[in-house]
Amino acid sequence: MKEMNGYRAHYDTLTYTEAQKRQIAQCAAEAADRAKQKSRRNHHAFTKIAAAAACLVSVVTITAEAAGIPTPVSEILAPIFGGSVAQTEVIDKIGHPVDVHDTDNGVTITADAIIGDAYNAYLVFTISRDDGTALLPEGVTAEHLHLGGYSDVSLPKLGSSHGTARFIDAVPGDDEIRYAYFVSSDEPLNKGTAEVTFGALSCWDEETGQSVAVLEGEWTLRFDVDYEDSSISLGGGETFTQGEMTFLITDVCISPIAVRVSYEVDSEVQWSDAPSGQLPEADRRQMERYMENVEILLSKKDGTVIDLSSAGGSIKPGDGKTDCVKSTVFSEVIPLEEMESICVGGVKFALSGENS
Amino acid sequence: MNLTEQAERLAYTYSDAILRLSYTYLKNLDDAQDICQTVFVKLLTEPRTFESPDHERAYILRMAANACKDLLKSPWRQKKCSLESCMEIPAPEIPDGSVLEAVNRLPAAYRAVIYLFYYEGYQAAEIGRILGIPTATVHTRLVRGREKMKHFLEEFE
Repeated sequence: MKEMNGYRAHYDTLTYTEAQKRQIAQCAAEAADRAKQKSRRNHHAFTKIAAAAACLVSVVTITAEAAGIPTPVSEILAPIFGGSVAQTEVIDKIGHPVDVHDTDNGVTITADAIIGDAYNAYLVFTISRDDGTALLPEGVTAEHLHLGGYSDVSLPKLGSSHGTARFIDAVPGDDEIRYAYFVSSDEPLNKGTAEVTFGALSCWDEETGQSVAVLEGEWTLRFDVDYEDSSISLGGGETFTQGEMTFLITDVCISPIAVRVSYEVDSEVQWSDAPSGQLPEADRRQMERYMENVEILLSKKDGTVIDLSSAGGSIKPGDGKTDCVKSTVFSEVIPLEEMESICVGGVKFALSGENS
Repeated sequence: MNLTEQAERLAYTYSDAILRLSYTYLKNLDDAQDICQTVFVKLLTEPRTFESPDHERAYILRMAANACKDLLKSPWRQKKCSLESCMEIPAPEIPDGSVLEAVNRLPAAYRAVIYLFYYEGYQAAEIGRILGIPTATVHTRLVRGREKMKHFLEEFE
């Protein structure tokens, strides 16, 4: 195309000056130096995590080299968990590549990677069309998609769980889309085999209120869940009083991706006999007293305070007391070394391990 | 070679190429400059050996492309640019009805393929390796991209 000469000429004008290149080099060298120093400090501060990470890094390296194309886990997970240098470092340490796929009807679903901690796991899948043509019909967008079949990922766990999922379409009109699936379990997740069978990729038609299949097929994936748990437990046995009740903190479990606080209240929550599906005002007040009013504040070393008090969870009354759990996943990866403390109901847990 | 010398070699050799490729994806110079930093810091903290200068260049362009895709996908994408770090690079003027305007109307994935083919001079198979997509997809995007551009250019007239 002769017209492309103009295109090339325009791109020729996009260039840094010599001074700007020197400045870029200086900034990059300083940032790399800081990252290397931080990495050395982390090695001493979090020996346990680093040891686990070393195993994982070597697994990642071997997998990547065997494939001929180096694909760090961070390349897959950064869109969901953030892509700064520190975040990438953590993701590559604790994330685990899966790379298991199934093909049906010209479409392949690949389980790319998993990242998690003691109670939570995030799985990332890629859905791609094998012939390279556009995956979705024109006009279909990610926010209206859902996967049919038994699309809950069955993870090795004992307790009940809840989760959420979403699609990420980085480049609308291309041949692939990402599917991020999050699950949070009441009991610790175990190593073992996960299994999922996806049915048709469908789109919700808001006008008709019906689900319409966009891609027919059935995809079954089985893969090992053996990521390293990067969570640490803080304290246990501390108390605080609030609303004339005493709260005994039994565990504060925190990782770069989530926090989970469990505590015991010295009185049994009394629910009304309202029909299922309704939440009377009296019950709402009880939920506030036992759960929502328990403040959880995460302080970062840069002075940022993240209010996690709106975290969801469970309330289990019995034997004159109430066991509660509040947990939430961070909106992006927060390296442990960037955290200073976490405060639960006014009790402060320093990440160095000393409480005040 | 110390860290600064390594960084200077990377910046002098690849910063313009990364800037251009990132601009094709992001259409934003501030974000394109961030991609340069991201790629260089990663290369400096995790040094790799390459078979040849061509291999290094292709690998670095792939890193840049992946970083751009991450940025486009990130729900937390934020435009942050400190006054000091923001360097003034004049954005290319885009004349109305130009080929550049037509290219810029294409989806990001198409723009990247067009850029690597027409500006960098890579073949479809090499573009496939750089972008991590099948060669057939590169061909499809080139064909469709050209068709769409033709349509846009006819619209302009």
